[in-house]
Amino acid sequence: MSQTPLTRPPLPAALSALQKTLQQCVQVLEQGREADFYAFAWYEEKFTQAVEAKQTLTTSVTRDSGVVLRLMANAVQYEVATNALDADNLLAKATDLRRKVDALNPSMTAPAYAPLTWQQELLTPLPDDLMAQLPADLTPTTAVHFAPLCGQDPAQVELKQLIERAKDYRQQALTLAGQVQAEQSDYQPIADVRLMLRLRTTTTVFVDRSKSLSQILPVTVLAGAGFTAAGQSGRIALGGLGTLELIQFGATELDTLARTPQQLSVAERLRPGRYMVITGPALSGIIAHEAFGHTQEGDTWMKGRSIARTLRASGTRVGNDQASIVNNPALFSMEGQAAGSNGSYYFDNEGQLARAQTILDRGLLSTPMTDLTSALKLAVPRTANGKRESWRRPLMTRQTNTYFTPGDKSLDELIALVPEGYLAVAPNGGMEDPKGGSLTAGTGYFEEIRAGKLTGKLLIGPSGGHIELTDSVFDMLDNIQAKTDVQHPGRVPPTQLGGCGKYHKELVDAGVGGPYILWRSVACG
Amino acid sequence: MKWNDHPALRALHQSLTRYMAEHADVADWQIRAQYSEGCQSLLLGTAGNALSVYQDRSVDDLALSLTLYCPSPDGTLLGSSSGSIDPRANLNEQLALIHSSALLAMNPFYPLADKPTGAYPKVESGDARLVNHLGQTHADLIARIAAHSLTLQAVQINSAELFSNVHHQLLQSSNGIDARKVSTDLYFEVAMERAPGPNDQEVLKYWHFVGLDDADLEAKLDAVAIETLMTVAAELPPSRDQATILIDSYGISKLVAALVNQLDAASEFAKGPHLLPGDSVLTGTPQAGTDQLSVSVDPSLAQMAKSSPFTAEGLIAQKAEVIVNNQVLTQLIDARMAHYLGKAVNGISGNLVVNSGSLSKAELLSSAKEVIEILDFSSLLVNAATLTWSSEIKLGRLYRQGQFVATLKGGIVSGNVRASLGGFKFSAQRVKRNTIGGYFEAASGYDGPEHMLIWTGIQIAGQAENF
Repeated sequence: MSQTPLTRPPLPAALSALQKTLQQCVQVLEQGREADFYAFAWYEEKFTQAVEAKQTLTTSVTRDSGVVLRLMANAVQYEVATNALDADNLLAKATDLRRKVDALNPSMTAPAYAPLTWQQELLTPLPDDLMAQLPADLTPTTAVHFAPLCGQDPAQVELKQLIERAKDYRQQALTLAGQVQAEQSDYQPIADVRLMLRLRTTTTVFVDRSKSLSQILPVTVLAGAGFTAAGQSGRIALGGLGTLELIQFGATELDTLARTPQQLSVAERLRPGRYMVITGPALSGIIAHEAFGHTQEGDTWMKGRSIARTLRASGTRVGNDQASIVNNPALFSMEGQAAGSNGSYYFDNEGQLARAQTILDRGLLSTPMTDLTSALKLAVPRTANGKRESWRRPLMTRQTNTYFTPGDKSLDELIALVPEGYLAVAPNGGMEDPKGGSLTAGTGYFEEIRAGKLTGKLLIGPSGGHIELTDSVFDMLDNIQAKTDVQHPGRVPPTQLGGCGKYHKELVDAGVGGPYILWRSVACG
Repeated sequence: MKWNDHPALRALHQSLTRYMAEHADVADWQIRAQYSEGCQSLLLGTAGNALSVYQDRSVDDLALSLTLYCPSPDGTLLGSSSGSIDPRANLNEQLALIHSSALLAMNPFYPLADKPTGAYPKVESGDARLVNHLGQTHADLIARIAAHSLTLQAVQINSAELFSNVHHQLLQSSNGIDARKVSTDLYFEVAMERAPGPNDQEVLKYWHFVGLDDADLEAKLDAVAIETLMTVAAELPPSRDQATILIDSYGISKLVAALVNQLDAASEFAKGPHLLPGDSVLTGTPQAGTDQLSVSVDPSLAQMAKSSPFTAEGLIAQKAEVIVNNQVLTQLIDARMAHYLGKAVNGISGNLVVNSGSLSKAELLSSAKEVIEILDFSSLLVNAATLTWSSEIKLGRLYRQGQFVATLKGGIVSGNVRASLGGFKFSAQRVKRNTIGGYFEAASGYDGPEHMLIWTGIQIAGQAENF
């Protein structure tokens, strides 16, 4: 395959005019009370081309855009959000919001917030990929634009390309499924293979009194499942921050769609119990995300809903020396992929520039990830974790890409350490209890390990569905026995596409990753 | 909100008329429009349960989308594609993009739903007080929450959220369908722990309401406070290969919704697991003393999440019994699936109405030697295909001979919906429950028993006594 030169998508010209309108809105919001108020304007656009190939073919092309005007006064974030984006309407909204906040806050009881200037900002190092895109002369009105290196300009990708790939990949999977069935007639055959290909290009613009930022974030996804008539399935999810070069369909994906569901149709059921388990990168990442990911979210600290605040204050160790977790929005390459994941960005929804943060360092907790409100309330550093599901929804502290740091073993060495246990590589969701300190993570099936070798036998859950892994976070993180190594120069392990809810709602993109991890003992059922 | 006068909708119709005159292969269209207004408040608990708002948002949102349909010249295939419409951008270019996408997505032909011969029935899908006075009503609700919070004793409110929304919806199509409704919804959540702390447990509860009459916020706060006070030292549940559990309407509604989803004709067409008329909904032999399941689907109930005069295709939404005494009576068949499967369209859609049992909750708890009541699931995931489900137990209670023994936390409870229907009992008490719907939960309305005792097909992985 020939190497296509990588390029960074530019900001569409039409948005330059919007940037000026947003600057005017900020002026309207703050004017005369700059010492009391802090305002910003945020524009978000998601242009999505999607194809779903199953027995029928479904396509859609959608563009969703909106603006949030924020005015902070006395520690309250007042916002109006709209998708009526003409300049007159936006300025009228800004005027109304200012009037409302003036009326509610005739005097100040909380200190005002002053955003960092570029000069102050650059006193703390920025990741290389951000530094490389900063212009030389940085003033409050300098338009600073960020974008990842892409194999194609996302604006030039056509729906037709997605359709062709979806149909081709589905056909490949169905053909292989037929071959497997011919060889193994005791398997229940594949009923269908469903594939979804999507390119979503998110463009955001942020303006406050100190900075004028924009970024383009194309995320390409290939997700799908093969399933039997009884519902046993094998699922895949590929892609990341970039274009179609990130969804190359290989033998592993084909096997997962075409062979695994048939194998699961005759799989034994797991007896609930405690087992040695090796988790694959995606499942390791879900555990990282659920373990001390949610627990280290600043707004959860702020509300008294996380045990982490007390544990950090007391210096309590919550895991062993192998328990290190990083949250990294500035992830633009990783083990096995020269591109970021869907939790990657250059700045968050409040204009905070992206930097990696070790949220758990060899069992010891750091200060939390924050949004503006929680950073001020908790008097801890701001991090780039202020996110919202869309312009329609409130902002909260959210994770970006969360992963366990790598270890020093190979996967074969990990398997050799297991006298009796299981390998789990098919993630199936997870849930946290930041207050109670427990977590649960799901896997589609187990692969059996006996005497340090994979036996080829698969097992499904006790009721015939997926398998849940659960434990107290402390027990879990104290039970890490070994981790696999990576070759990535930045020591970033494989980090896969993920989605995250805050408790039960507010869906955001969030990459999850890590090495293969051997856990000495996990409750499974 | 008057759709008839709406400039964006009018402009779209004008462009569409011109476009179709120039492109004869575009045979049909469907427009969906929604204008929503919302108020959102995030609240933080402080000492003495004085709540303070730390995020105060208002949202207005106009969403227009268009689907174009292009049959192949021989009439065997139908290309279609959907796209959002940006009223500020060039409409002709947007129509051309949807048109070209439709030509790339050809499927077996099916006719669009016919325009109903009669008028759509009147269905109360919203609350006029929210529609007419959204901002003031939201502020009043916040004031009620704040006032009642101050009365709660021995608990600390950590946080709360209230979202109030109004949606004006429109569905139009080229064959004359013109369906409209106004819906409302409220979302309220609260998280509490025992006071004084510190604690390692909290109770988080949330509710969706369609109207103010069901939004008994004070009663909800009281109920959460009572549950919070029960969060004393908790232990792992005992491991059981065959457990008896008691779940509430949250769990029942999820299990029944997953089951009824397999009655959707689209499940049959997809070749995945599905149920046909005459099928039994349970697997295995019913056990002595078990109840039987009967479910109706009803779109006409006042102020419920799935109440609507029309279906997604614009058919008149129909009420029907779909499961009677464990047997499937009919599938839910829309116009497209009716054509694909050679069946009659029935337009059945709406809220789930489930039959009651005869026992009280106390009687259910004392009807087995050991019962584990699940108060909160960490994350109840029902696999729509296999109908298996599992979750960590976030909070539960262990009863023996009807007597409380211990508070439970942790462990994994799992089961299979169809296996569970071989041995269960519903409570006599009934409740209504709404889920407005989103990425994590499909919209659903539930009118049925408040509790369900299940003694078949349930496993619990907990205390290591069996390991």
